[in-house]
Amino acid sequence: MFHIELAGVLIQVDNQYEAVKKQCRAFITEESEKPAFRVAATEQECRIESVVSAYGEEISLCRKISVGLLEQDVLMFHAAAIEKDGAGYLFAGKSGIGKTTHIRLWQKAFGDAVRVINGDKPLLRFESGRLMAYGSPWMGKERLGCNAKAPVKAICFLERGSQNQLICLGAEQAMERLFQQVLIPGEASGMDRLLALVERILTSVPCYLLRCRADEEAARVAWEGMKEAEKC
Amino acid sequence: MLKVREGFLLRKMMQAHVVVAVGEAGRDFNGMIRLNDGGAWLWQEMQRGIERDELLDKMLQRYDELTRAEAEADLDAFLQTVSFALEGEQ
Repeated sequence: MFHIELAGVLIQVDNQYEAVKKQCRAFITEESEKPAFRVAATEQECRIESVVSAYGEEISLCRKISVGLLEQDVLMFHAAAIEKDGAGYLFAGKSGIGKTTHIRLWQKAFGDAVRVINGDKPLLRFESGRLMAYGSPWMGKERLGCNAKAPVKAICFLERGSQNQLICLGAEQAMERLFQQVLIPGEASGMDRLLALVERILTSVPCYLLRCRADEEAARVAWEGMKEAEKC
Repeated sequence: MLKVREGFLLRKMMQAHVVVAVGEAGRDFNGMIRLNDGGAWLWQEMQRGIERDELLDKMLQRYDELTRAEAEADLDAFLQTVSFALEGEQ
């Protein structure tokens, strides 16, 4: 058993495998107050296609923590989150579309000015009216990320293209794209909480579509377009 | 009988009518579809289950200029777009 703090929420994790603790190590904290919730995976829940494993436990706990965090109005978002000049940018899209490739291009183009907050599943929450992106233990295959946070300047959906082109998306157009990159709750009450949070995000942060190649210019086009992100 | 499957929810978001799914239904459908006002009305009528003929009558009451043939065509087109969210076969 150990405690982690994710997006400012204290969680108790009753683990079976050490691998989970190792995965969470950057977020482990002392139990300073009563945890907001606790999670545990049963043996059945650690099973993937009849094999019980640490990986199964990781997947199960990730889902349970996502559900618990939503009750605290924290959203686990399938995206890559980076920070540049104190502003956070989120890149979202289907698995395999090139999120990791794209944030690597930002690192190549802007060097140390870019910090990766999380490569796969950052956590979003509002603080004093501002949307913040927090790191999480789920950093993707390449394990990119850290225990940090940044105010979100823009959300950018990625698609592959033959040219690098940044397009401003209306909130309604972004709605379905955003919704595809979150975990769907099991119950109507969770869904209503999710929809309210997604709507608040869409009305607070500008959303873009980047059609891009895998070259450094893609990172520059994205940054040039989003750094002055007026509400679009 | 036309009836919406359990787990499919009609909600309003960003001034739009959207259909989302939770629970068992959410495993087959993890997206969001948007409905216009007419679609949202049809959906509401089907939420508790309604016979096709009864729904056609209601459509004719609601839309003065509509002929029965037009109502049937509209309804069929709508049913096709939301077929994944309806019980049994139509």
